[in-house]
Amino acid sequence: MPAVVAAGLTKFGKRKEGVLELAAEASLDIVSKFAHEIDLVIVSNSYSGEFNGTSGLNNLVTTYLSMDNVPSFRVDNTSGSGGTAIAVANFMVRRFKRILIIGVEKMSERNTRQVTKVISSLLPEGERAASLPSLAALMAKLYMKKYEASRESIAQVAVKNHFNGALNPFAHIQKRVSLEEVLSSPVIAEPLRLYEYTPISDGAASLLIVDDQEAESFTDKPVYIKGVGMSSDTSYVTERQELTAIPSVREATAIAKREAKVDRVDFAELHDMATILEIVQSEEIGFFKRGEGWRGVMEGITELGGEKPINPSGGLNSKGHPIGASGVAQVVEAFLQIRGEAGQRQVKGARTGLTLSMAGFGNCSTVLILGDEP
Amino acid sequence: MISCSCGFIGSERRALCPRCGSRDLKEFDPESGVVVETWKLNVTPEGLEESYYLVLAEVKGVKIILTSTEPVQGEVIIQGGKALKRGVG
Repeated sequence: MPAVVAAGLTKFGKRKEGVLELAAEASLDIVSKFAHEIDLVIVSNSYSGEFNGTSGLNNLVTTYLSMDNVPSFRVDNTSGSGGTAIAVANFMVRRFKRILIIGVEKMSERNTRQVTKVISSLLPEGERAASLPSLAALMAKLYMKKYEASRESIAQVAVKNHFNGALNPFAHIQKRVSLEEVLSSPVIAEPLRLYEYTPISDGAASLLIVDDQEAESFTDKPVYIKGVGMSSDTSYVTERQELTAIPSVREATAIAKREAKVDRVDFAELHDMATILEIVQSEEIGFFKRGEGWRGVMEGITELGGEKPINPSGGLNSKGHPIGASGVAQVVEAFLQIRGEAGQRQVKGARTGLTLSMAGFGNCSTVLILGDEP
Repeated sequence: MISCSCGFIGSERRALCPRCGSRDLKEFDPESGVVVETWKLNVTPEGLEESYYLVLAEVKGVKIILTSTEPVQGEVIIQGGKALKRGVG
């Protein structure tokens, strides 16, 4: 069973540094300490070609870090790249004993509409005019209608996540917002508004993953990857039977929990590209029954001090979403939470956590269960 | 859209029929559909209009996404990925 023994993170946001500098910022502490022990580098990145005019990013990163002879490759699975990279490392750690994962994305060189065009290219031709944010808006409309959910409950996710993000020094947006502010911010795609979507962020995150047999020689507080679940669904989103559910999340969670032999977790880091996604995902990971996630938000169950905290980091919604870095950064957050090192946003008694890294609109989901013992 | 002799109808092109595995899929342009939901997008991908309505419409039991310059309901005519009110265009 692999273990995370070290982690690094940059501040997310609009950064002046380039993609290589960000990758280095997140990983230099690990590389300085363990460079000669690292057998493989996996770079999680989706759009260095489109956003930065850069190909072969993994080799450029290893050379920039003066690890010229360490094998490396890049994993691209759109927004789910980070989770996929960790899943790949999980399977490869028996051969390459010490694997450095670096998730990085530099997005702010493009404006919002350019970024939207690039990301929409993962949709089939007939759906590209829709864009992912508008599919989330459609989900919100259908969810409210089907379950009689209040509009406020969806917006409240942004209030909660901005509260958490304000406690996270690495978050892109570090200010609290009120329900009124969320509901009066500009409409992006009806009915969802600006504060209900993730911002466009630059950033990087890194993890050192080793086999559990030697984990304690690196740190006295390893965090174990107890279960990994991956599941996919059609890229043709409108062909799905149900547009108020994300079955790949449910399936990936079931696989991960089965492998981890875990029924419940103390917190979850979910893929809240839009507020409604957190609610639907909270149902798919089993925190709530279908159609009841919105009630959980209104009752405060998913708040930091609640019974089932979600996105203590601020989530993609407030922390930011540098595409290739996000899934890695979720595990950095789980690493800190489980070690009791999350500062003001620490979830009390956190020993087991779940992360969800999601590609496209649930086209591929990777769920990880992490804990403080093997 | 695509159709297969086994009865499968899909929203987008595929190399193989997901139901029977046939490679003999026929592409066709839908002529009309029924609106399931419509909503406005204000931040659109570069290269497209700056704002438009999106339409989730059902055609032969399959849902597809169309665009429109105005909110539409009921049955619509489909031309080049756009939903038009009946009697227009």
